[in-house]
Amino acid sequence: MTLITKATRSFLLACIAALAVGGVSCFWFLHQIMDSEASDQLLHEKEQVEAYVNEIGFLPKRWFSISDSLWAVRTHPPVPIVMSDTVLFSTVQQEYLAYRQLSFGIATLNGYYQVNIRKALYETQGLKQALLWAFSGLTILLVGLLFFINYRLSRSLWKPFYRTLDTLQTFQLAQKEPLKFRRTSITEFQTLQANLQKLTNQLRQDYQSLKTFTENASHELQTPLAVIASNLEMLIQAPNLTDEQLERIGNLIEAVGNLSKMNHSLLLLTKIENGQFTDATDIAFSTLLSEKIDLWQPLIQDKSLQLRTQITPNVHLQMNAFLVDVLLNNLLGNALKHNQPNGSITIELTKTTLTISNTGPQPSIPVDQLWERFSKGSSRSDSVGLGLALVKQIADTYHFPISYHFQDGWHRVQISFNIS
Amino acid sequence: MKILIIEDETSLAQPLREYLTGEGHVCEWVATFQAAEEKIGVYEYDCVLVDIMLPGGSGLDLVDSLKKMQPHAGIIIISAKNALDDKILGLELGADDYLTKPFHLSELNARIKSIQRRRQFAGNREIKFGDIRIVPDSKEVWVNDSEIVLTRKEYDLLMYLVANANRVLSKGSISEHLYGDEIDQANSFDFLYSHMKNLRKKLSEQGCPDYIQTVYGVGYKFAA
Repeated sequence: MTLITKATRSFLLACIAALAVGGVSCFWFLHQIMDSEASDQLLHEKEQVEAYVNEIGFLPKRWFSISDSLWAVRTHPPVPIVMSDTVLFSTVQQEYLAYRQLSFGIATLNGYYQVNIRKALYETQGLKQALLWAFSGLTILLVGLLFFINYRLSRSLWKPFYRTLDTLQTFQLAQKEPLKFRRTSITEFQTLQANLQKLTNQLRQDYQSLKTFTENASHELQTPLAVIASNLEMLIQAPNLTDEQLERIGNLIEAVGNLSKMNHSLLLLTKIENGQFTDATDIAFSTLLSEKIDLWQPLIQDKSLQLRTQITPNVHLQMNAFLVDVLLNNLLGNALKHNQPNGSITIELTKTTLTISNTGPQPSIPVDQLWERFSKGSSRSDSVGLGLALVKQIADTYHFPISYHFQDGWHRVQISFNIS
Repeated sequence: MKILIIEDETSLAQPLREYLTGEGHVCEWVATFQAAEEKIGVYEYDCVLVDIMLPGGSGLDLVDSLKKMQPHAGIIIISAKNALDDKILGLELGADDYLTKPFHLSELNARIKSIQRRRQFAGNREIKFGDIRIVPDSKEVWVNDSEIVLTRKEYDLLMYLVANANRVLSKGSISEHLYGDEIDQANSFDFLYSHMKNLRKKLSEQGCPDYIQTVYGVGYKFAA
């Protein structure tokens, strides 16, 4: 729920509650006034009748015939004053109508009478109804107007905030330029922007220096590695080395080889992160994949692995040629390296996904750590654990979702091509 | 060949020089930009190895002036930077090859041999080793007058072995030559065993003596 929706909703609820309470009490108050007014009128008429009788001594004759609202019945005293409400069927309007009736006794010169005055309440009811409608209309209008004003006001008030949010959402650690927030006149938002600016700048700088450090360190490592490698290579040319000495030097050479491969991968990771492989070309992915499989074929046969492929032809992707190469080499290489004797490999390419599955022992680390650098699912010393990190980095570069599953002895890596 | 090594790291230049001298080349070595400029201005070389980051200037400038003064000299850039831009620029300036540190001496040697071959005139382009005769232009391999058919990788492997004949080659050096940096060591070693096995088989089927010696714990040695 957005801030504005939430604020507007609360506002609307408060409005409705206030108006409901106000409306009901208003109506009740009105009702009370009209009710007592009706009674007052009846009592007033009673006084008039009494005044007439007092003066003339008789009840006015004509009244009885003109209206059925006022009539007198001859009776015996005493007659109590009774005010009562009643409902009667009106032949004129063909419906039941509410009346208020006042009965009282009065002594005239020709006897004791019970005088009844009846007054229709429907007039006041009509008035109440009209008032109710007017009130409701006014209420709706008022709420609507307030709602509109509040909504517009909130929107314009929060607009800088939302703009700031939008700008913040575009932030990437690797971006070269600082974030540019649109200026706002509201102090709170200015503070927010200033702090965000500071924070993101700090993040960018830290990230940048970390990257520079990695890159420099990797570069600086190259020369000493070259020195070690070359000197070791010279060393093994020496005559009269014993087998033991040769093996020791062999181990060293292998370790230096691993080290320089690791260094190479780290540099590559940094370069991909730096976006140094942005040039994308149209890659005939199906063809390339088949070529790669052909390349690995001797090794697959050598290890007596069962290979099953299902490659949809004519899958094309816009990618950097070098990165595709690294991606496929690492995926296929992993499927071979972490396999088992007489195991299997399944490669499946559809228009939207590449799935590479292979048999092999269960990874010894949690699945979600597999993509991290230097995390190894096996204890092989010849694996440095950068292969999957590279795969992940490349997939991330192209916003390709990538997933790994281990089930029933099968490792399954799937990449979805986000073709948009 | 007469080779000039321009490299500021003494402990790297030393084995480089030794290895290449061992291959029968005449090697000179300088460590700074100025010294290199002086040498280039005075002497002629068949091949120059240039490091890009030198005290006193960029190796790329040396490549540029070398190409102007000695257009026939083969140039190999050795750099700690595996930057594509440097590589392209270097090759555009006229360098024949680009090697990224750390590299194997045997790899450098193979590249120098390939430059040497390219510089030789037509007609004398065959390589002979014992019973093996290789025609690089057509990539044909003959053993005792019968041609043997090798896969691309097997051919590359044989070429590499022949170029570094009588040297102990580490497994890493050979597999990196064949597969570069992009395949990790475990897989490329497996590849190497497989190729080596096939190559041996194909050669011996034609009655070729087994020149491939396994050096325990290290790698191989190709020797008659």
